[in-house]
Parts: sequence; structure tokens; C-alpha cells
Amino acid sequence: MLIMDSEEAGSKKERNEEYSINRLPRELIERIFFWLPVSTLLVCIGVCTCWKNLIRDPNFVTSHLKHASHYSLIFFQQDYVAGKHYPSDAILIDKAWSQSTYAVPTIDPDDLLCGSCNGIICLYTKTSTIKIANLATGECLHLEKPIKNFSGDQFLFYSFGFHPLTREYKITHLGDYVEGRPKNGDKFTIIQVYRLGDEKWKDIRTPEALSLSCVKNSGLINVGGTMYWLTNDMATNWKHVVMCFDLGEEAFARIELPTSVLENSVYGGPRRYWIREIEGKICIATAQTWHKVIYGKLQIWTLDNKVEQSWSQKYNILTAGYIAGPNLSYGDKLLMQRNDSRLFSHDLHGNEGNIKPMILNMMRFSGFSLVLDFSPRKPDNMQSYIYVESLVRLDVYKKGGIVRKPKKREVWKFKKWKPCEDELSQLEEMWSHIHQKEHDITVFSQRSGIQLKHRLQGISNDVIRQQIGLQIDQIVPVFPNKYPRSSQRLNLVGEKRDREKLLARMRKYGDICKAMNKEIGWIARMTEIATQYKVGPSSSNDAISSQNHSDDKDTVES
Amino acid sequence: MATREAGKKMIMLKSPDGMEFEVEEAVAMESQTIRKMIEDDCADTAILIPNINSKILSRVIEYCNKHVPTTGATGAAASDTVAPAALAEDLKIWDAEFIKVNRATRFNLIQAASYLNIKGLLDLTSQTTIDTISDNSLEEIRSFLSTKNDYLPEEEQTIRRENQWAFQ
Repeated sequence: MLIMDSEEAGSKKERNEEYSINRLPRELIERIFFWLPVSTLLVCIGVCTCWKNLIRDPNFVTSHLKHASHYSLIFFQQDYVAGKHYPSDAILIDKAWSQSTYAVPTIDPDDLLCGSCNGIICLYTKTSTIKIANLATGECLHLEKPIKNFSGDQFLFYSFGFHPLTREYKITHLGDYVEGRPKNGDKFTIIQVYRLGDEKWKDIRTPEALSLSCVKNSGLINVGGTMYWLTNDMATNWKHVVMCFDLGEEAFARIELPTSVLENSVYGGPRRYWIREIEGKICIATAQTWHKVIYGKLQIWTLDNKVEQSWSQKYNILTAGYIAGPNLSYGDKLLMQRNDSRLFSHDLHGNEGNIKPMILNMMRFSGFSLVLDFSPRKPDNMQSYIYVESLVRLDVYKKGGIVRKPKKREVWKFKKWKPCEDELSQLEEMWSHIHQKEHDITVFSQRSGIQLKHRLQGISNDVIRQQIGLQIDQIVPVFPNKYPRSSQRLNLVGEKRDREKLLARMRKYGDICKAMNKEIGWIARMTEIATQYKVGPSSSNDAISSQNHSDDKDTVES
Repeated sequence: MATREAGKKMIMLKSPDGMEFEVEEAVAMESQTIRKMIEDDCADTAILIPNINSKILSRVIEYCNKHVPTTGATGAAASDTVAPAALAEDLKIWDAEFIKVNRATRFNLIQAASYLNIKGLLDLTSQTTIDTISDNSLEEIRSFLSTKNDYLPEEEQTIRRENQWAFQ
């Protein structure tokens, strides 16, 4: 018996091995894993130790990143509009241009976004720390800020990037501060750099004094391991010059802007300049503005050759609005926002081989399609980044100290978010209220059905009794299944949709109630008439058809 | 389907278990590995395909026969009469039927497609596994793909805790 058992076990084992995926060579398993999203791979880690070792292997993480899906990350910083506080919120847009509906749990309501690369984002928090978070794995790392006493728009001076050669992540902060204030007014002479995994921040002196307000007004981008921003240079045609800082070598360089003369309209306000990124290229956008809003022609130039410092004008856009950033594009589309809090997209290409810039008209919306209406958020409150879903681990940069947030909803502690929380619980209450009502009316209709059927016994005519009986069977309303309520918080897109669904459901409930009451009333009346007319089938049929739904006004309303 | 006509160059493929398959050169060249051998003149009349038994090899040939682009005299006529969209739809249905095999065969096909470098077949055979992993829970993945849980209970606890993010 024993021998037989072990033999059987042996053949079963062999059979299992033949059927096991793990007999495939590693590169073939990897190839399968490349196509799986991070959330699935995190589940796969639990399958067996060899899968864990494979998925956690830094080489696999790097290769997976190359295959990973890109999203457009639309970020709204916390805001105060018409007496209401709105939390910081993010929307991920995928290749098919569909939008995420759940809030990102790692983003707290007061967080501000300063960078996104390789699936990791850099968030400026209200506390003394900068938060580095992998959105897909939920890992968060908190780092001490280089300056503690913050004031003003500090988050604008932080940036986050990855250098492809050194393979290091670096956070940078512009400015030399004394007690939370810039030491030299608007000028800064130091860049503070923190390499992920290091103990502390390092000061690097800039080659010259640079303008902070210029960064604040024109932005800061991080492309391919180099940081780019604008500084004033009155000697040039465009009064600005691009400064770059290589995150690998930690060295500075200057890039001259185009020299062509910009024609200013007498009606236009002061000209502004922005530095942006389109499909990995450095761009300069410029337009005349009126109270910070662009009115008129927005020119977009791209840097074609960094060594030769050659630029070419790619777009000429007639618009009234703001300019998104730091990424002006997603996929093969240009992202433009209007001053009515709506985000639009337009094909980037279609002008190849043409030396002249592509002319777009946003006033007439020709060729533009609506991506998102983010009202009531302010139109200048939006940022757009590129986000890549990745397995990049943060725990290797700091032993311990990693915080993983549970995916379910957390209650926001700050007092100012109380109305927001109240609104959410009200919405939940409304949902359970409508579900309860739907349940109640179903029970009521079933009971009424039983009562009505009881009264049918008084009808002597079989045909009529059957007919009315069939009608009674149909009064029980059919509601869709309970709308599933997730414990996760919704983002602004999800919340809008949720409210619309609730409203539609309430309307439907109202309609069903009305129709049912009418039906019950009609059946009751018919039963009564049919009971009274104890004559032949033909005449009672006449009686019914004459009554047939014609006296709608008399139906019972409960 | 392409018909074997006189004048078309034929190639002999041999499996390690001694079976021989005569196929058109164009069909055999669906495999980038064989294409390279033919182009480098490494193949005379017969090519031995190591590690792929006759059962799997015959299925691979079946796939290549179906997927070989219909070019040449007969092919041009075929693509004139049948719309490309309809052809693609037809192939899709055929593929779905083709992949209805047991798991051991599927894994053998993945390995064969990888060795012979037939991207379409590798994608097709991998996709089923990708779907299995995507659509199921941890326990189901283990049972469907016959992977053995070699975690100690406490280790498993830790892993689950660490990746709570995914488990919720």
C-alpha cells in the first residue's frame, strides 16, 4: 500500500510539474509579467517565493517600467471656491482617454504636487516633510524639508527627477533661505539637492544669482535627468534665458532662447514666458496676458537641438485661458485649458514637413475635443504630469519609515475638511435611504398584490379573473441591483458621476412609484366592477374596455 | 489556405522523436529562427528542431500555415476578393479555437514559439496565461497554474501585510 501511494504521489507530482507555469524559463515568465498591471503583480508576489524573487528583482522592475502604461496625471491643488474648501485631487487618464474615478489614497487633501517620474511622485506636505510616493504600490517615504519655516508658494521651487545614467532619484529645492524667507529677496544662489537614500540635503552654488519670481511665473520642468527653468536676461531679445541643471553631474548650463522679434499687440497686456514639455521636448510658450490670463496668440517653440541651441516654432494658438503644465501633451495630443475650467485636447501632429507653425483656434474649438470639465475648480488650479505605473520600490532608500496607506477611505483630520466629510456622509446616507425606499416599495407592492389577488375571488368570470391576475403579477417593480458602494474615496470625476447616478436613481424611483400606484388603482377599480357585473363574459369585457385606463385622473395616489 | 503547388520550395522539419514534416519554405519562414537558418544557408533539405516533440511541432506548423501571408499569384487573388477586416476576423476566430488546449500543451507551445521566434504565436499563447493571472484571486492563480505555495505561514502573513494595498 505504502509503495503504491508513493508511486501515485510521484506520478501526480510529475503531472503537476508538467502543468506548472514554473517549468517555463524565467524570461518567458517575465515576458508574461510585463503585460500585467502593478496591482496584479503585487498579488502575484504572494503566489510563491520564486515569483516574489522575480517581481522584486531590480532588473525586472526596470524592464517592467519600459513596458508600463503611461497616464496623464491631472492634478488639482486644494482650493477655496465660493465658500467651500476643495481637497487636492488627481485624475489619471489612460490611453483610451478614460478617466479614473477613485481618489489616489497616497495624496492627502492638503498635498501639493512637485514632480512625477518612474511611477513615483513628489508631494509637498503641510508638515515638515516632503512625501515621495509610489501611487501603484502605495509606498510612501517622508523626507525632512531643507527649510522648516515655510512661507508663500514654496512648493513651486521643488522638483523631482531621475537621471538615466546614474540611475539616481534627486529632489531639488531652489533658494537660500533665512528663517523661511529668501535671503536675498527675489534672488537665489543655491540649489539644495537630496539624493534618494542619502542622509541629508546638499547645497550647490549657482553660477550667478537667479530669479525666484521668474521660476514662480514660468515654471520648472524635469526632462531626462535635467532640470530646466527660466531666468531674466535683459540683454536678450526675449529678456529670458533657460537655465539647466544636470542631476547626474550636478552642473549648470545656459540655453539661449530664439532671437526672432515678437510682435506685441497694443491691446495685449504684458508678455509672459513659460517653460513646458511636449513629448519629452523642452518648449517655451509665450503670449501677452491680461490679469494672468492669455488673450490672443500663444506661441509654442520647441528646442530641436540642445547643443546648437536651435529652436523652432511649432504652434500658434489663438486662445483665452491658461497654459497647463509642466507636460503640455499626452499621447499624441496637446492639452490646453480654457478660462472656463475646461480641458481640451488637439492632435499634436499633422503638420509634419511644414516649416510654418501649426495654427490652432481655441476660441472656435476647431479640432479641439473636450477632455474634462473641472468646474467649480478654478481654471488656473490645474497641473498636468505624465505618470507611469511602476513597481519601483522606495524601501530600499530608507530602512523602516515606509508608510503604506490602506486603500480604504481615511477620515481627514483638519477642521477645514469637516464640511467635505459631512457632505460625503450625507451622500452615503442618501444612497442607503434610496436603497431602503426601493426595498420598502417592493415589499409594499408584493403585499398589495396578495391583497388584490384575494379580492379576485369575487369575480365569477374566469377570463377576466385571469386577465386581472396577470396584471397584478406585474405590479412588483424591478429595481436595478444595489449600486455598489466602495469604501474608497472618489475623485472629482467619480463624485460628479456618483451624484448624477443618485439623481437618476431618485427620479426612477419616483416614476416607478407613480406608475405602480396608478396600476394598483386601476386593478382595484376593475376588480370592483368585474365583481359587480355578474353577467356574461362579453358584456363585462365591454365594461372593462370602456374603463380601460381612460380615467387616469381618478387613480389612487397614496 | 495556401495550397501546395508545384514549383514551391519545400523544407523538411524534423522533430527529435523522428517525425518529419514537409512544409513550404514560406510557412517555415514564419519562424524567425528558421528564416535565419535558411537565409544563412544553414539548412539543406532537413532542419532538426530540438526540444520540440512531433505533437507540438505539428501544431506550430498548423499555426504557421494559417498565418502565412497570402502573397504571390494565388494570394493576390484571395486578398482581392476578401476584405482585410474579414480576414483578420476569421484569423481571430481560428486563433481562439486553436488555443483551446490543455495547460501542458499551452506551456509547450509558449516554449516552442519562443525558441522558433514566432511572435504572433508567442503572444497568442502568453495571452491566455496573462488573462488567467489578471482575472483570478491568489488561490485561483495557484491552482490554475499549478504553482506550489512554498511560503512558511508566518512568511505568508508578512507578504500579505506588506502588499495589503493589492489585497484589498
